[in-house]
Amino acid sequence: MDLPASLLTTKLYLSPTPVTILSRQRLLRRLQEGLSKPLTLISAPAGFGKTTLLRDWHASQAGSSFPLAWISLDHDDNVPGRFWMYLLSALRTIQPGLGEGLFTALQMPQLPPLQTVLTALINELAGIQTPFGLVLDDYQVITAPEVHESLCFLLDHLPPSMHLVVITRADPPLPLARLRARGQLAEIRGADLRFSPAEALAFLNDVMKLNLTEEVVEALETRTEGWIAGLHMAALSLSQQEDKQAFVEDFSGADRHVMDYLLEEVLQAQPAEVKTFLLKTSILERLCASLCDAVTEAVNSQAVLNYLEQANLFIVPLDNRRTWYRYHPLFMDLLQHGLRQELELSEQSGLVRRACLWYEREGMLSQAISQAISGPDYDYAANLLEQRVLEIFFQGHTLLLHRWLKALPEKVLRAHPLLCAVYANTLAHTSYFQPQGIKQAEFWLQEAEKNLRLVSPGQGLPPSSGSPTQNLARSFIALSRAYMALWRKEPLKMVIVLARHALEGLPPADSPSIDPNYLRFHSGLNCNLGLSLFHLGDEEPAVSAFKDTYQIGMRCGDFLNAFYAVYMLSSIYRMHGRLPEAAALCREVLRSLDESGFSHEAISPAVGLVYVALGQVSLERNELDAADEWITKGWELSRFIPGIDIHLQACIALANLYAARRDPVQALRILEQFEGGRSETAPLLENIRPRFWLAQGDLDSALKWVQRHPLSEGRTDIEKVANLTLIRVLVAQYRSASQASPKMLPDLAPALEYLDGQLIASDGERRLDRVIELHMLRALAAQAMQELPEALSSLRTALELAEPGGSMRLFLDEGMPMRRMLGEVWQAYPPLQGFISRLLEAWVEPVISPVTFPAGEALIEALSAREVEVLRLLAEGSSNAEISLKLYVSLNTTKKHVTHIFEKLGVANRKEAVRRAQELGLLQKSIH
Amino acid sequence: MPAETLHPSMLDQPARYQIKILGRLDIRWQAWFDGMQMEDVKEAGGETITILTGTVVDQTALHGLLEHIRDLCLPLLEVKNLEEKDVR
Repeated sequence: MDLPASLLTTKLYLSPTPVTILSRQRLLRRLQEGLSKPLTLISAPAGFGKTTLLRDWHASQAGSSFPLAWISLDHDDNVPGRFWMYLLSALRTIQPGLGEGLFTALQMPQLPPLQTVLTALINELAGIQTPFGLVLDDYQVITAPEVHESLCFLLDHLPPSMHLVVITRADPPLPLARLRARGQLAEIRGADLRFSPAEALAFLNDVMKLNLTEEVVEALETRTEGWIAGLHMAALSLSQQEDKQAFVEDFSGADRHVMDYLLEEVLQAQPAEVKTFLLKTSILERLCASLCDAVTEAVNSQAVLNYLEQANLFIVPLDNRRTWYRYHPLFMDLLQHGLRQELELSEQSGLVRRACLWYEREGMLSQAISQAISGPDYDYAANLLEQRVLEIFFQGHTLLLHRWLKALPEKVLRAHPLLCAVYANTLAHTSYFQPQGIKQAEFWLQEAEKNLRLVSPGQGLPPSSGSPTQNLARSFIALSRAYMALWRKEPLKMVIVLARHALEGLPPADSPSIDPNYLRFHSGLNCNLGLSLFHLGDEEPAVSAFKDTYQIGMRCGDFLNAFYAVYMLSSIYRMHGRLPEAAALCREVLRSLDESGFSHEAISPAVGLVYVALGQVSLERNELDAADEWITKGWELSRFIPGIDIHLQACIALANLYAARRDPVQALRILEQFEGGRSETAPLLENIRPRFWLAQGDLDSALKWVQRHPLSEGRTDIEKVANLTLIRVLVAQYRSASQASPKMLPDLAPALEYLDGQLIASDGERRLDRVIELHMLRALAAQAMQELPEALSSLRTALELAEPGGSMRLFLDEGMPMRRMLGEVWQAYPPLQGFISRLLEAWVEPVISPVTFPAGEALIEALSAREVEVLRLLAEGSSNAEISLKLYVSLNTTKKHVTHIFEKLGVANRKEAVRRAQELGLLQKSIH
Repeated sequence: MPAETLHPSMLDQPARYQIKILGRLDIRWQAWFDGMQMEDVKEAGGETITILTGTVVDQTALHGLLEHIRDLCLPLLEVKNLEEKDVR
């Protein structure tokens, strides 16, 4: 589906300057000067020598030492994933190995949040010290707002060593006025690019060797208004003319449009064979001899291409082996027009069909479809799409597929129920399930169903008895409805029924010669099925669906679903307190991956799911070094895993790891840095934050949080987590008050009541991890209230339940009060002594957290966690702009933080701030 | 998607337009601007202009047409909506 390597290089190749160009010092100087600004815009109509100018500069002495990445865009690049993948490919031509991991992320069926990818890319680009440039040629073909927005984002955060050049026929919707006002934009426009009379003279006489008089040159220059393509065509015509004077007079006197007049002249001057070749091949975006042979049904295309290049007939080589060429876009437009004039319609469609067949034969599916659509040969395009739809769909080209389907006339689309169903799916996805998109999707689902003669749409589907295409169409209908039901929060039972229907339409996963794309369908559906079953509490079938997902996903290379299933299985085992089983599963998966020899690029970022799962288990078992390795690796990759909240879980695990290592400040920093979370699960972060404040000894912040989060009924998991946090805060408050002001004791009764209620309710549940936590919290509450026997009995229950799975962090995280109680249990219950000894050994002496200062220190007001972060970055030598980028905050916010830090530390500049902070022990080396 | 049911806006309505271009274009270009009538007129100042008149199926088609004109480097003089009910 992607461009074959040979074609990809043609997009990234900056062809050498032809011999027949005029070097233009005034413009080369302006290009050179423009490098000091972030953006150069070269905006002018076709035939003004935009690309040629940049090529010439790149060949010049000044330009050749400047690393330049180049990309020629075309219409199919109107998809963010593809656009950025090509940009990354271009940048890799000057910085090999750039953005490893991002590359795979951009090719995934579901794109990770674009801003995450761009931020990671920008950070890598910022690491390049030597100045370099990126040229986007033919930017006018880009019409997708998402692509413009993403380019704006790059421009807003452009690393200082990077320079962007945009070549276009129409001004792009970038904030040009703002850039201009700030002096950050270098511009070269049509008026600058036109040949001046002196340049026209030099071009016609010195470069084209026409020996024209000044009057003739002046006449040509006036007639063409310095338009380079016009002068070029005039020169080509003139070189064939006996009577140059007469030609110029004729040309000057004609009222016909310059290019209209000249094209005819140029074409007339060509041998008939060449003329036919030009017209017939004008339908091709790119030309190579074999393709031209196929289209023209001739055998001498290579010779013609060589001739065209020598005659400088607006043909541009696209690689250094003279394999691929393209016509100058203006010339191509003109030739296409000529084609419509001179060839019968049936002959024209023959050309398109032969080009499509050639692409198909060469495995260039995307080119075949694009050619058929622009042909247009809609029936051919629709048939090809129908045959290969799974391949396109499951290789992550959803947006491209959507564009193609959208380009088909309704009538053609209606005739293909499978395509209608797929279109409904891409409509729902590309509209992010907005009502309008859903409405349109529903329309096309019904079209598909009408065609399949389904009586009651959406209800029951008849047994799969049709052709494979019809069955696949039914599966797609069910799949789309399942997604829509999920999105609309319809009952999960409905989703499960639909997912099972979709699976029924597919050939069984264990059939021997099954198309791998069908397997991808299986793995995706099974994973969603497992998830729905899990959320309904139907655990056994969920586990079996996840196991199927893993097996099938590994067979067809659908690593994202396979590893998500592993993550879910590990989570389920963890919830049951079966930590060794969870660890064994993850290790077994990683071991078999090692053996299978998949490249890192192939399995990342998906494998991050397994890392995170293993990290969570290791952390709970207090294997901190292993936890560190897996969580850190998983956290890095999880940013690029789309659609699911794995990055949030990785952040929580990382924060817990820091807390386990007695660095709650860093833990809080991790939580604060987390951005882009989905609104549904983001409150989870908010709800565990107070635990780190407690670890830091900051009861006040925790109590402020309590005011906003009263005890709830605990209907959802997020609410339950909030309640468990609340109880921890209340216990800490009780403890602190009983020492300082016994009259201000909080009422723990509702909390205890809640814990008891949850314990009774959890009798039927299998979440052993929660049950242990509930007993443990009961123990802590009773301990605070000086009810020691009850405390010890609850703790004993918790320990007995935890021992088989080896869950340790749950106890260790509770600090000194827990440690004291453990000592008591050790004496009272000898059977638990082994486990308790392990817990006590694991205890690390608490260190003073970096932001707690000895009383009486010079610091009037403590730094906030955010200010400490800013301080750390200051100490690393980051500029305000860099800090903003790293912390995802605006420049103003950063400046505000810096001012506050200075005030609080009583210093006037960065250097003093860093020194003072070191004196105060505020700046310590972090773990990594 | 049937336009009238889902996008009842002017963006998706067919409309008659008149487009004026500087210079004379040979009549054989008519096919290029599919469906548009083409005529050239000598202006009082001696300039020849080409006038394209016809119906575009929607705004996207109109912009496609304008893009063509841009890509052929034809100087655009005027674009006018000829729909009576929508004189704006």
